[in-house]
Amino acid sequence: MDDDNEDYLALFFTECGELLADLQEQLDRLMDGERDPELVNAAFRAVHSVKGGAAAFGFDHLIGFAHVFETVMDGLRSGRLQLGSDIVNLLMRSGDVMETLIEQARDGGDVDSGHVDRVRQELEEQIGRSSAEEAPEDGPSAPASAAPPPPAPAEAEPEPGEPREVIVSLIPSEDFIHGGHDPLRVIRAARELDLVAAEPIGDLPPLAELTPEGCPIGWKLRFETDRPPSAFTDFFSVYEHIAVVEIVDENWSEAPAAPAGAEAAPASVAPTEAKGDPAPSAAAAPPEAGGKDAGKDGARHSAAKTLRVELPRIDRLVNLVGEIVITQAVLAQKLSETDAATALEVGHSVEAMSRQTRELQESVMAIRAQPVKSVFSRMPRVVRDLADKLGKEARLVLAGEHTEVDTTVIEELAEPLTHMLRNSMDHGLELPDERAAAGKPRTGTIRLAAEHRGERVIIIIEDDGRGINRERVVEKAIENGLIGPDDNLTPEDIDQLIFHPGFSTAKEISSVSGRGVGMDVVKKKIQALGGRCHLRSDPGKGTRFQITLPLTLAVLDGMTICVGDERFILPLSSVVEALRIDGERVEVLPDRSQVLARRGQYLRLISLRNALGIDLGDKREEMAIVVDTETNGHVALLVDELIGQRQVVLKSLEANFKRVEGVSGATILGDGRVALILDIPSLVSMGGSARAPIQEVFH
Amino acid sequence: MTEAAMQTEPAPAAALPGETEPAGAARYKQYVTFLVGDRAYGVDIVLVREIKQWTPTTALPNQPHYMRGVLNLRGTIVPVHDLRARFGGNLTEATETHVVVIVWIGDQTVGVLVDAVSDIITVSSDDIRPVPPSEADLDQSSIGGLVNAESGMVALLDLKALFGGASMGMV
Repeated sequence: MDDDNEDYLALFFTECGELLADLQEQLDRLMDGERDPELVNAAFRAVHSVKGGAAAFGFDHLIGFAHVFETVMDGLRSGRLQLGSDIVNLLMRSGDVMETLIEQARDGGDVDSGHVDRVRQELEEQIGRSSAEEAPEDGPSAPASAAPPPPAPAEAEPEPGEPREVIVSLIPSEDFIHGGHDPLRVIRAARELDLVAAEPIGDLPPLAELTPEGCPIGWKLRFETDRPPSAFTDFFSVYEHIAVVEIVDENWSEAPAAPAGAEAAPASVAPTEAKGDPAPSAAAAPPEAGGKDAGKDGARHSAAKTLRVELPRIDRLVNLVGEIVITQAVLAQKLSETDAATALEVGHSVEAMSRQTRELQESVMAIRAQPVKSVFSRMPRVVRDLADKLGKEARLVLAGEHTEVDTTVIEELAEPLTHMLRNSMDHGLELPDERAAAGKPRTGTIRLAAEHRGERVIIIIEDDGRGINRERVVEKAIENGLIGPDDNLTPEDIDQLIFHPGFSTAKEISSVSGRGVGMDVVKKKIQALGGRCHLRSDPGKGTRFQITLPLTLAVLDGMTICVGDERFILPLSSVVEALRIDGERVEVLPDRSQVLARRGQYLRLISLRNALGIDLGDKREEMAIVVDTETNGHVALLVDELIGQRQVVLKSLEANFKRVEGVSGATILGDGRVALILDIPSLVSMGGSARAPIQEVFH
Repeated sequence: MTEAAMQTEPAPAAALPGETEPAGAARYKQYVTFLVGDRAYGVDIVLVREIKQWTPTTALPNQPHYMRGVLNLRGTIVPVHDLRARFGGNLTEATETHVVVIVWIGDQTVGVLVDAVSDIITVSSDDIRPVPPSEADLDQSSIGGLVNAESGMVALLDLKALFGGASMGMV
């Protein structure tokens, strides 16, 4: 089972991701003080769905934990537990633990079982508290045994008796398959519970009436087992609101008195109590919880209108549309070269087509657009983890999570964002006492926001910490030889130093940040995405990073330039300005390399001819494009001609060739020719400084 | 010559004689042959994706001289190598009569600039002769064998040895 299983597993983890994001959202709102009971319901459902999926794959740790987790939430729903900030906090940490467990189930590896157990213990204490009100017995460890196959020894379980027969009939509702369940998987998973036989109930309808989405038959599952009834109620509770489940377990010998208490306690709080009633519960909707769950089923219906599509399929579509856009441009160009009469006649249609093509392109790009929420939602956990490690108190405020960005950008965003948050937590926010002394609230606030601005998306990370310690930055920069002791830098220039490679001011290297891979990595990454990074710091008040990103990586705003006969594209995001060169402004350094004087500053001049090895004879370049290298400040590129701005569709060189130094990719121009997209940082490191031969031209 | 003058279909060998004979017997394969100067080269037909008229390419910086740059093959960027220059000759002064043979090397698509396509020949594995040692201007490992066809000797190219290294990056 193999490939099939792999596919389901991948689907399960994808769903887990969505469910966790959902859970996180509910918990965040609870954290913010909202007390709408529906929030708890929604959170419960998310955990319950994770548990359901985990059950099908036998992730025991995850099931066990999710079970305790949802039991506490069930206690909250039913009012047995009071929703206070301590519980919300616990739920929050439980969400994190569940995420860790899911990650472990997916990627393997170890988890900090001590931490998991601690949180689990706390959850169980809550369960104990809630059950104490109902059951006279107060056994905090007892409910643990209610978890389906918990790793804990079955000490509290009743003595394993003689194998007995348990019959479960499962009659899927119409929505069973729609809801993402698969009868085959249920039955396969049921093997774990000593399934001995599965008989179909009901007949297949005639072929003409058979709908592929329905599930016309049910199954009678026969088990020969010594497992306690809870094993069955737990297992099948997952399917209860989407199928009629009946469990006949008559031969279960009543457990002896002592463990009965233990068994009763969890039963009274477990969600299975409400819904796992042996009586067919579909008609007699269980009180309260059932009603809410019905609402969820309604939601499922509308969710079915969305479609999960593999990204490569959409990529193909995006590529194809890119081609059409180019062909369209060629067509328009060719048309303009024909005689006027034809041009007029066909012109309208071509124009209409060009409009439709643009619309098509936008629609296709919209398919790939995704709210930034998918990456933002991972961040609160990062902050909580760090707050723990660093002994700081922090609150992460998210805004604009629904801002949509191309999925390719989203994937690349998690790493730099995590890094920047770490930076804010580590360097920005002060320790609680320090904050109090400065007259600030003990809990620091980090704001993470996204918004659209034109064709770009802006992401802001803002903290109310101490701001950049400029004195220390300068000290460190001098120490590292980045600047001279007498350099007079503006505060802004000093702030920019933190983006310098290898720059880190952490007093000691911590595991959090300050490993020497610092903000320069962030800046490089953002730049690789065609974005920019700005920084503003107010000493004592906080720091604000602003990232500007293109909405997509599939198209790029470029500036077309000409060197010799070749045209190249410069990413518009790095272009600062374009100037016409005249001899007076070019100075020659002793090593014969040239610099350009511009507003009292000297910029390194880089000849694209030299860097790219283009032989042009004596013709001299007339233009200089000043670009931001992001890491080495501004440089001026010598080019022959500036053609203009345009949007280009990015193509890979690596697909059929290899990475080429100085080039980040290629695109196809309106005439079908390939133009290279220049990679400015690597171009600059390739050398190609303008040198002596040009000196003669300028004399 | 028209663009994409010839598209090949995979597995043409199926209908060939000898296929049904037991292992160890001669196997037949088809090769597309093309000319560079007066020398003929052959490439296994299943590796040939299409044949395209030469169109000017876009040069890539800092590549070996035989790497003629990239062209746009219906939206994919394909590198083009000059076979003459690869074997130590001068750069081909490409015109519209020159052709680019688009071949598969592994999962990459690569163009090879030649003077003209000449023929498709069927060759028995028994007829493939090894390259005699010390042939002066040939990169020996890049020639998989020699065949004596009606029109003269054909050198069968080992594309991977020829351009695969360059494509994969020599790092």
